[in-house]
Order: sequence, then structure tokens, then C-alpha cells
Amino acid sequence: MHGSTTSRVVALFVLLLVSATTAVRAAPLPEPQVFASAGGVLDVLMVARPAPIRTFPVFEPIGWVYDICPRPRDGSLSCPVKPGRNLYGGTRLALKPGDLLKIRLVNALPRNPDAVHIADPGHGYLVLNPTNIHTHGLEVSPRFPSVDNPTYGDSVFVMTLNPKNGQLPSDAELHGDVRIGYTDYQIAIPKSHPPGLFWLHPHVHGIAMNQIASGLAAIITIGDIKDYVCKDAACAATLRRMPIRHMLLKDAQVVTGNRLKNEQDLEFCQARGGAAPETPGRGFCKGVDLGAGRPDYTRGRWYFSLNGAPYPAIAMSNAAGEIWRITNTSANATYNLQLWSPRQKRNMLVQVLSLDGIAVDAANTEPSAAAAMTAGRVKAEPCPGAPSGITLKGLCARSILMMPSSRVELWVVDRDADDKVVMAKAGDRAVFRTAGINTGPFGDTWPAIDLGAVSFSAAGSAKLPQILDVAGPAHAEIPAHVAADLAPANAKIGTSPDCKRLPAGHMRRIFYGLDKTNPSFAGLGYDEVDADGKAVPGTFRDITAFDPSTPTVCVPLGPGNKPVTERWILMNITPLDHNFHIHQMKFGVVTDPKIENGSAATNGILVDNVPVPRADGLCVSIADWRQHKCTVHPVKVDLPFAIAGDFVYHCHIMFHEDAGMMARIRVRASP
Amino acid sequence: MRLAAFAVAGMAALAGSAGAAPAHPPDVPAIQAAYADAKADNADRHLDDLAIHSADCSPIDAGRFYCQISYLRAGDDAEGHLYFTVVTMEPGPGRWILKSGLCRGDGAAH
Repeated sequence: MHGSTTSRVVALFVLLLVSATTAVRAAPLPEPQVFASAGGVLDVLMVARPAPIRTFPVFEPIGWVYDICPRPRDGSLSCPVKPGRNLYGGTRLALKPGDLLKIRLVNALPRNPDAVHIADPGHGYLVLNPTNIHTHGLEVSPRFPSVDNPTYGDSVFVMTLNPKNGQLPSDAELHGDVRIGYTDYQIAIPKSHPPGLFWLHPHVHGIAMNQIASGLAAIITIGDIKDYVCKDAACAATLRRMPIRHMLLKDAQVVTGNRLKNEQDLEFCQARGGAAPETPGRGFCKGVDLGAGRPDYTRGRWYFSLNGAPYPAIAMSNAAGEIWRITNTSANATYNLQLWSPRQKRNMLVQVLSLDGIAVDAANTEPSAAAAMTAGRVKAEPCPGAPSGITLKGLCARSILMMPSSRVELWVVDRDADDKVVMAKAGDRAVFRTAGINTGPFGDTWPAIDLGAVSFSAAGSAKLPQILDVAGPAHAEIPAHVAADLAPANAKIGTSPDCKRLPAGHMRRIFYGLDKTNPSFAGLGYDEVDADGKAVPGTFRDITAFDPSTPTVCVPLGPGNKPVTERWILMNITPLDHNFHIHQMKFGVVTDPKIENGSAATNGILVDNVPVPRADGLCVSIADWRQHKCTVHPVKVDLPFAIAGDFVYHCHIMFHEDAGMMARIRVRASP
Repeated sequence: MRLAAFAVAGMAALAGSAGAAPAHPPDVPAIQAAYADAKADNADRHLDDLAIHSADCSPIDAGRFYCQISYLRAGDDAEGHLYFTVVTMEPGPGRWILKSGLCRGDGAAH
């Protein structure tokens, strides 16, 4: 009896010791597996399939992953089994400008009875869990298959069915092509494509959120960081010593029974209006009981991970710091990224090298102007070492807003109390975190989470630069070069008599709002305004849920299929934040209404998604807005159209996109 | 290329329409003929200018087949645009019947 008690005490002590050790020693941050092009081609088999997530503490749910391998020569539709791989953590496809990306996408996903939009009329087939891919941010052709080449470009108007999940019902309202089993893509990267960070995710309207929230995402890099960072020899020598990390921000809600809840509940950790936890969770937040007949998540966790690892250790190995290439691959979550210094009790400065896959050029820009060019995503500050605080030499910041789909590349290095880059001292640490953020009275509350434990290193050279010089391709020239590289593909698209050029000075206006006729509630509206801001009669289209068969906008390319730049005004009449993303291009934010129409497309900072802030007041229709029931904060953007084809623009909060906040756009060859 | 494919598909459709009772999986002519029948029954729900280009069918049950098909449409502004979809085919008296797929609004007009 006594011996048994002693054994139990010893066992308990050992258990506590093990638990404490586990709590202190975070696992190292894993790097995504890489598949690199060779000889100008990357040819992979990409199997979307279920797989256990073994990187979460406590739970081991089944997520959905891309299992990627070089395409088997025997035509097999599965990749070789290699135990121990962190598939949920993501994969990187490493490409070069001019490469051909060949993907055979296999759908081996299970049925998805949890998706809410399977209840929408004509969309019951979404339970079959069809999938597809979109190469987010790449300036590539969205071409359809042809008799000559029956593969797809970066087209979202196709979906692949897993034949094991059943047949399409006869009432299916489809959004484009349907393929059984697998789909072949061939995506030609233009030779002039800017080097940088991009990603790939599913885009089937109605269930894109479910698939991304389950883990389906991969990153794509074009070229190398040295293509646009550290062109001078001394800087380049420093850059060579810096490890480069790729980080996929992901989140997963896990409930009792080890079930990953892919129909995300955005109140999982905090009921709307409820109190936020006092301290950020380390890699997760605990679920709450929403009460009154609503779900009880108290036995669940909402994980926020880096490459699938919640709160990993990010141990630097060199005093020169590291380059972090970060992609928000969450379906809905907005992150407010910060690097908290416990010693200085404030957020550390980091240098922003690129946004959305394109190098920033902040030289001689006022900090407020640089921040405006990011539509508020980066609270720009001068980097130390700049000649004055009035204009920027490098773009630095202490917090970076990352709405879904955003990418950022950072130089992270130890700094002193004056923000100067210094040799790290032993024990210098930081916490990589997202601060909590609320997207409006009717919006969502994204929890504050500590994402990773950072430790700096004193190893390496004593001479460190204060700023890394950044020099990417000239932004003004990118659309023309891309259009020239894609000239054959653009010419094949042909002309359309319905496609009219926007008159000089006119702008297109996109409204974010509610579609009361749509069971899914959300949609986009449209009209055209003249140079005086007056609506052009006959152009108005009320807020409507996504209609895959009817383009809202048709844009003809310029003479000789040269790029055409249009100014659009993004109008959010809802009381919650959205963001705007358009496929196949980068665009510039108009920072001053006096800027000539179109010229913001040559900004030093270009993006492929911008926040569209909520309105003040309450409008449920455009009519309400016209009656001044709310105040809208328009965002103006200049869009350089260089690629012909059919694609989409939408809110990249996938919950909103699946609910209808998306529209089809058609770009045609010059008439 | 597009017109040539159209012509081939059209001739094949004529041949298919004269076929005997379906004993094998439906082929391009059979599906084209079944589409023509469906269109004759309800023109509003079907396109005028659709030519089946390829078909790959797998059995479901009781003689029914689920087919991956590709097709072309006249008047497309994209040269040689090849569409892909799936159809369900059911044996009828002496010919195949198109049971689902290729209707307006289900993606055939995208």
C-alpha cells in the first residue's frame, strides 16, 4: 500500500517534470518541404487528401493537405508514402521567371457534410467536396483549355470531383468545368515576372473556406530573395549569412472528438461583445461556451500555427538576423503581426522588404505616404540609419496588418532601445505574436496569440548593416513586360463586342454589401462614375451574390494588347471590414485624390489585396447609403490590366467570398 | 480547328442517332445524339451550338454511365476553347438518353 503510494507520487512528479519541460521547450519551427523547378519546368502531382495533424498538442485531428511529389512516370495518382512528413505545415514550390509549372491536381478529399452552403439551392453537390487551385498573386494567364492544349491556366472556373464521393445531382448549378478525378494545369510564368512570395489555395465558390480552413495551402516562390534585396556587395555578404524562413500562418478549430471544424465559428474563443482573454494564448486560444442553445467549445482549441506548429521555437543562428517570408494562409483570420521585446517592453522594429510578393520601394517617401500606399497595412516608420526622419530609406514598422491572403517579407534582427541593429546579447528574446483585432461592431474578433518564441544569436560578424537595400523590378514597367511575355495567350482570347473601354476620367465603383435575395446574404454591387463622381446612367447593378456565368465588368486591353489602367473605387457599406483581391495583377492604392488617374499603378508599393474599411452607421442597401444612413470610407485603386481572360475579384475573407462577395471579370484583346 | 471539330462531331452525331440499342458505354456520337434529343424536348435549357469533342464513360449501375466529356461551342471569343463537364447517360429504346448535365445554368454556358 505504502509502496504503491510512493510509486504514484514518483510517477506524478515525473509527469509534472515532463509537462513542465514540454511547456518550456517549444519544438523548433519546421521549414516547409521544397519542390524546385529544374530545366525550366516543375512538374508535380498534387493530391488533396485527408491526413492527421501531428504537430498540435493535446489533439490530433484530421486535416486536409496537399501531398506533393514529382509526377510519377507510371501515371499513378498518389504520391509515395513517406511517414513523418509534416504535410499540414505546407509545401513550397520554388520557381524561376520563365518556368512552366505543371500540376496534376488529384481530388482525394472526403465528402464534406459540414459545409453550410450545401444547403443553398442548386449547391447540394458541394457535399461532394470538389476542389481546384488558384495561384494567388501570380501574374499568369487564366486561360481555359483548348483543343491544342487541354490543360488549364490559373482558371478558377473548373472543379475536380473525387469519383468516390458520388455523382453530381441533376440540379447542380455549376460554376464552370467539371473534371472527374484529376485536372491538369500548365501555368507559364512570364520571363518578366517579379520575383517574390506567392501562394496556392483552393477556390471553389461555396466551400473554399472549408478547404482552406482544413489546411489546403502551399506557397510559391519566384526567383530568390537576392534578386531584390542587397544588390551591393557588403549587404549581399550579410544576406548570405542570413537564414531564410518561410512561414505559413494557419489556424484550425478543433473540437471534442479530435474533429477539425472547417465551417469555422468566428466566436470560438470569444463571444461577440465578450471579454478577451487577459493574456495571449501560446499557439492557441481556448474555446468558450456561447450559451443559450449555442455551441459549447470549452473542450476545444483554436490553434494558430506557423507551418503547422503552434508556438514553435525560432532560434536564430546568426547575429545578422533572418529573412522571414510570411504568408497568411488562413481562410478568415486577420493577423496583426508584432515582435514583442520583453526586455524593452515594446514591439521591435522590423524592416519590410516586400508586400504581396513584390519588393517595396519606399525611397524618398514620407512615412505617412508609404503607410497610405499599403492602405494602412504597414504603419511605416523610418528605419534607423536613414538620413532623416522625414523620408524613408528603408520601410520599417512595428506592426503589420495581414488580412487573409497577405504576404510580407521581413528582416528580423536584434535591436537596441534606439531601434539600432546591434549584436545580440545572450538571452535576448522576443515573442512573435498577433495582437488581437476587431473588424467592427458586426465584424469578427481575432484573438491575440503568441505565435512563436524568438531567440537572437550573437554568432557571426560584428559589423552589421542598419538597413538592407531593396531594389526590385521597376513597378511601372511590370505590366507592359508581362503583357509582352503573354502576348500569344492574350491574342488567343480574342475580342468581345460587349467589352467597352472606360471613358477617360471615368471610374468603376464596387460596393460591398448584403444581397437580401441570396440565402447566403453577401454580394457585390457595381456602377460607373464620371470624372465628377456622378453615377453614369444605365451602369448600376445592385448588390448581387456571385454569378459565375455573367461577368460584371469587361475590360478591353489597349491597342496592340498593351496594358490598360483603370481606377476603381471600393465602397464598403457594411459595418464590418472586408478586403479586396483581384486575380492576375498587382495594383496601386491612390493615396491622394489629385493623383492622375492610373498613375498609382506605378507606386513604390504595389499589392494584391487591400483592406476595405467598414462604414460608420448602418446601411443594409446602396439605397440606404444614398440616403446618408452610413458614411463610407472609399479606397481608390489603380489596376493595370495586362492579362486577358476570365477571372474574379472578391473579398478574401473566405467566409464572405463563399457567401457571395465575389464577381466575375472578363478581360479581352484590344478591339 | 474549331470548325473542323464541329464538322466531325456533327457527322458523328448523325451516325450515332441511327445506332442500335446501347450495349457498350456511350461514345461521342451517342452523347451528341442524346443531347440533340434533349434539346428538341426543351430548347430553352440547351445551347444551339454545342459539339461533343471527347467522352470517357464509367458504369454506375443498371446500364447507366457517368461520362467525362469535352465539347466546343461556336461563337466563342476564345479560340478553340474546350469545355469539360460530366453527364449521366441512361439506355433508352434504341438510343442513349441524357439524364443530367449540359443544361443551361449548370455551367454549360460559362
